[in-house]
Amino acid sequence: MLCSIVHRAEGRGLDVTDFIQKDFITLHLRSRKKESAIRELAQLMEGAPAMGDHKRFLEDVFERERLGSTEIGDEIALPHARTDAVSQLIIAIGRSKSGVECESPDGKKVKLFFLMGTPQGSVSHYLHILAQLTRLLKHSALKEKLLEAQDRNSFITLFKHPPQGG
Amino acid sequence: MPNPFKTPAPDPFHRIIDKLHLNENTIILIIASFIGIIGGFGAVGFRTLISFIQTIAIGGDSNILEIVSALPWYKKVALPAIGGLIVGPLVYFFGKETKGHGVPEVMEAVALRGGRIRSRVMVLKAFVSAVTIATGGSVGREGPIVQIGSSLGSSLGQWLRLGQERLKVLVACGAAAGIAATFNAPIAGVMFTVEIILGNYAITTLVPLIMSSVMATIVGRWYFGDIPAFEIPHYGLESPWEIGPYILLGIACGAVAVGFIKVLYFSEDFADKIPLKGWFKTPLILLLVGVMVMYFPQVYGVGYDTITQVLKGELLWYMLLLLIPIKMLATSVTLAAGGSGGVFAPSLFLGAVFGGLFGTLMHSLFPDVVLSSGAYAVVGMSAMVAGTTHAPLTAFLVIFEMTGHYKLILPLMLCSILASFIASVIKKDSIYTLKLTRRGVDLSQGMEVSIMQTTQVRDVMNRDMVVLDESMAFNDLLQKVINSNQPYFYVKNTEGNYQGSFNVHDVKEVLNEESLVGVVVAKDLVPISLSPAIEMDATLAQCMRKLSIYEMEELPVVDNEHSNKLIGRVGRRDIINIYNREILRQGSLGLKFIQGKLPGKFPTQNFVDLPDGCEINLIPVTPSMQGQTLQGLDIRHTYEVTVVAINRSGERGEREVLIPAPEEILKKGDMLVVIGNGDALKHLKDAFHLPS
Repeated sequence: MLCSIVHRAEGRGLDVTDFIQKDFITLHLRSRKKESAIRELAQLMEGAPAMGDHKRFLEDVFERERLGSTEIGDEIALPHARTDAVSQLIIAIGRSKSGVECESPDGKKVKLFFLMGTPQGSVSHYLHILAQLTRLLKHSALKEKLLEAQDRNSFITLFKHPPQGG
Repeated sequence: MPNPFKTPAPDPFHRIIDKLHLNENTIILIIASFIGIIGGFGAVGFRTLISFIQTIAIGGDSNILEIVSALPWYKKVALPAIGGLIVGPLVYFFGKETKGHGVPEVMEAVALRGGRIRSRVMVLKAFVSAVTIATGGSVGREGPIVQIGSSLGSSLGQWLRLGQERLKVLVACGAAAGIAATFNAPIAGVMFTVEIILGNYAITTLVPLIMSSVMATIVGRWYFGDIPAFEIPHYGLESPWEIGPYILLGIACGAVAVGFIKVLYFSEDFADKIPLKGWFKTPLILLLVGVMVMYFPQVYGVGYDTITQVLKGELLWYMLLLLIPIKMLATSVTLAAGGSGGVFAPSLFLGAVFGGLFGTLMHSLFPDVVLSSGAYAVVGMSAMVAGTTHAPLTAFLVIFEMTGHYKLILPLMLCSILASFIASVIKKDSIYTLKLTRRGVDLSQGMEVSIMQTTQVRDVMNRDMVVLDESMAFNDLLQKVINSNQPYFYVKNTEGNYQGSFNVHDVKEVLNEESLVGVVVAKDLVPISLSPAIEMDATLAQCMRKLSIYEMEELPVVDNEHSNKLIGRVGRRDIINIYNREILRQGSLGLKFIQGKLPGKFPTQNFVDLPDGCEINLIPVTPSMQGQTLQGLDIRHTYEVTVVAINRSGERGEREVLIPAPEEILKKGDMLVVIGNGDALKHLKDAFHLPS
């Protein structure tokens, strides 16, 4: 099932794993609060070619959070925004061993943050990327491995070759 | 039910064709000639009526200027107002259609009503105009005569039950006949109609127009004699250098023409604001014209005597200078008061005095190059007419024919073109089209576009729409999408402001994607940049443009662009439906075209979508149907066709539309507006031997 989703998205020329970059990953989020965690992640992407307006990007993400928070439970949050502050899909990933205080539906602290910005474009592609990412993450074997990953390279490898089963 | 209908009932036009074994174009030519003859007599009758009233009013019908100048001052002041006492109540009690210049009304009838003109109004119009002109109103004869001629053509065409295109040709023939006979100008008659009334140079139209014009001119010459309207000395282009001053004259006339148009419409607006009853207002304001006549008898009536004087170079420069604003005012005040008459002759007058003044100035500056001012007055007439009417060909041809003088043709052509160009650059509308434009009718674009430009989005929009709150969660949103049959979903913020929309296709592939629950809200689905919306006051034309630019099938309607509150939606389909229906209403049902921005003129509940395969047809009542009731014919059950309206000729030939009551007895000349399936309609027509 997982493979079929990844395959489908690839068939459309869009695979979320292609956008995961080593520089935009931190395995040790310092922040203890959601807002500062988002800022900390956004900081990683400041100056990136795809990041046009860093300040606007943050504003749009917080505006989006105001409409509905993006913690999906199971220690994961996916703050995101469609914004013209970025010129292409851009993702920053943060891991916090101790967890960040959030309003998750299951009450758990968030340990994995995926901060995502997408530019203007087809809504259906955007939804596909989001769906692909959430499906990957809800796959508990991958999540567990991500929490245990030793460095950023193995983090990326896990995305490219998700563990089977679970 | 037995079928009692056997005989075919072709309309009168086709009956004539069948009887005479002639082709349609030949018949149209014969009819055009006939219209030319009656149009010619119409012009003769109109001039005779003016002469008759003039004789009563001032005791003579020739050398008007001389007679008027000799009148005691109180008569000069009182005469226009006395005319107003007759004209005012007539216009007030019989409708505003009798008021005004005349030509714009014919233009509108041709462009928007398929050439249908009510003849009843025309008889009154002729009388009202004749009284206005004869008692000193400073207006011309061409407006009323064009209306009289074209209504004759229209009545004949309607009696023959001709289609719209042929009816328009006959209306045009009538107009051409009127101009040709009035000005003894057959070529200008044709050109006036082509340039101003029809705006179409198709050769098929030209031939009947020429026939009509020729016949009318023959009638006019037989009655008035073949003498040019203005006898002028032998002017010509004296030196090639004269082209310089003529170019200046053309440009200046264009500018003055626009000034005249402005003064005219300003005066009308001003008079409209005076809070007095129309029948009282007309004579009161016409007193003002009387005062002008007292000091300047030249502005009394059409003013041809004065024009002749100017053309011969008999008026002094300061008189010419004074007459320019006085004539502009006199004509404007006459029409603003509610008087009736044309603006063509006043344009001639104005052109002559302005040209005369210009010529005098040029003569004093360059006596070696410019020999006389008279030639400039002749050319000025043509240029001024071109500037006010935006019809340069008519302008120089009418002057050429009215003077019978070929030598000046070069400056005539040059100045007319220049003046028309300059005037249309300064102001898009001519003296004729401005009247229509101000009512929201843009003739340059034809009937179809006028509907699009006079109908507002609010009249067409649909309030039934799915509006989602921007923070609506994905699963709630999916429920709405699944339960709706609409393709577009509109997202608003908590203040109700429009945020954007998405299409069902955008989300259909993720409808089962449970993983998005908790990740996506409605706002995530709309475009980042502000999505296009249309204001409810926008026209259908603006709406269509926006739909095309954004390649959308539907647009949300907001109250205005600042507050951006969502109030409805409007689709391409809604607009096309309204458009078709309105064309149909005007084309088949003969209803009046709706102008202006009246609220609620298209209540949406009055419109129904036609099912696929369904058509609306107009069928004539055959002799076998005459005298029967709709109930008796039982068309609905026998043929599965519904009669939605009866289009009937009134006593004076005007068409009216009746709601079809079951007991309504069908009469000769009635047309039925029927709706039904294509096959059913064919079946019905076959049964009544009507052509498919």
